[in-house]
Amino acid sequence: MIRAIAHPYPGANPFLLGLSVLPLLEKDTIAKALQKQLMQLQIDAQSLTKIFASYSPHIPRHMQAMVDYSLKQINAAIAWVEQWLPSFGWQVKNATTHSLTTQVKCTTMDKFQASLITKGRIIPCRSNIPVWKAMKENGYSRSAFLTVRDGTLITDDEILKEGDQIELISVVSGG
Amino acid sequence: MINMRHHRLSLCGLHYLEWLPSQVQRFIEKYRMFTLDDRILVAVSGGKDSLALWDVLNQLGYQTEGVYIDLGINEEIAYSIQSRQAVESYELKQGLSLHVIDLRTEFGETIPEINRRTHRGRVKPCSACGLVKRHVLNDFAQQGGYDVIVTGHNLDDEAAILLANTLDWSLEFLARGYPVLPAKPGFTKKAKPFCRTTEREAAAYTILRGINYVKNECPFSLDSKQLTNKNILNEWEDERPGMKLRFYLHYLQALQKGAFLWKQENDQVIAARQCPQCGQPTTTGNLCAFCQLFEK
Repeated sequence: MIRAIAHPYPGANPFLLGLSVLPLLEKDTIAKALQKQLMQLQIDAQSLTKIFASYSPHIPRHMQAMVDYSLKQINAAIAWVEQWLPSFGWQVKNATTHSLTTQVKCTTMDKFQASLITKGRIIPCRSNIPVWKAMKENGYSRSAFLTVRDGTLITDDEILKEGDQIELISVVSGG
Repeated sequence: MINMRHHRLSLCGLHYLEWLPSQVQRFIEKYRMFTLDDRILVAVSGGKDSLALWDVLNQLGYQTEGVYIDLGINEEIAYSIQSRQAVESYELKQGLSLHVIDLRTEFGETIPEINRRTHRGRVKPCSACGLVKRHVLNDFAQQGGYDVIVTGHNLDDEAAILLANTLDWSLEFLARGYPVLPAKPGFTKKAKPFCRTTEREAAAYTILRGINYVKNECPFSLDSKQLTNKNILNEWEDERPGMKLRFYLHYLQALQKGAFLWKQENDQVIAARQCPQCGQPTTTGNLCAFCQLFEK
């Protein structure tokens, strides 16, 4: 296990193998393959960010390190593809990478300090704002929920403290 | 603590548990729903509203008996099993009297089976279920000689129904939105003591009283129009606290001033006809909608 942490570049990389046969392929084919890879990388980064956000801020340190490492690797791969795509005749739009980088930064910088919990979902939210505002920012109607902290009903104008976990109990039923 | 922005009031748990029953008592008297001498049949579904209502009425000293209709909705989730457990555990804990009507035993079919077999059930599952419940409750109340049937319909339910009926200009239904429907030949009196209590208030009451209610939603109601209307009303309520209550109260005031009166009188004429099969009042004089639903 220690060796696994201590040594970089484990195992063979099929991507490098693919690069070694580039001279045999058409420029257009390479560009299309790289575009496909770019799209997949962006989807991966976004889903990883979402997963991370749904557990934040109560995510253990080793998991933070794992997610952070994966995101940085994905970002590096995105940067590499965007750098090389023009040489195969395809221009990259800058905005895609920038928005992704911003989103990743926001999450890893611990923007979310409290959370709302409802129907088994954990929704990270800001602290130092009233509960109703956090609900509004996340699309929850204050008229449709009761708010509970540590098993006690609280009013939704209470200010969220760092680390607060507020359970939202849905009161809407019907048919 | 619970805050009620539409009343500009926040109360601690202890005072809230005193405040809600006193409010309900006020509405019972205001709308002349029933008295301490009446035998009251409480329709309980296992949800927060009906269990909270049963509890409040008992706190206020009314003579109540509960009735639970087992609809047999257990296919996707064990909804009816969970609901029945919630009702029976409350009844046992409080030492109350509960009657259980099992649709399969009494009528040979559950709601999912009716919904699959009939056009009405396939198109509007909640409408078919509502029809069955209304008929069965009325029949049970008539046979048992109860003075009044009470249901846990709350302000959110009433405002959502009012919104739907207003958007559709359903004059027939708009004429019948009063929280008390008087007894008529073949019909037991019906009352909705929670008509001015919000869903949020009823839920807070059950939590503070430690009443265990079924949290799952009926799988047939997930796409219902009523839920959509409730969500719309809640969005408005967030921006304008008290909007739901004003919407409903102004409608009640309009009813009292005689709005839709010609439609109400028309209803009384219709109610004089009887279904040849079950004997309950019907609009046509032929089989009532309930008997048509079970006609194979």
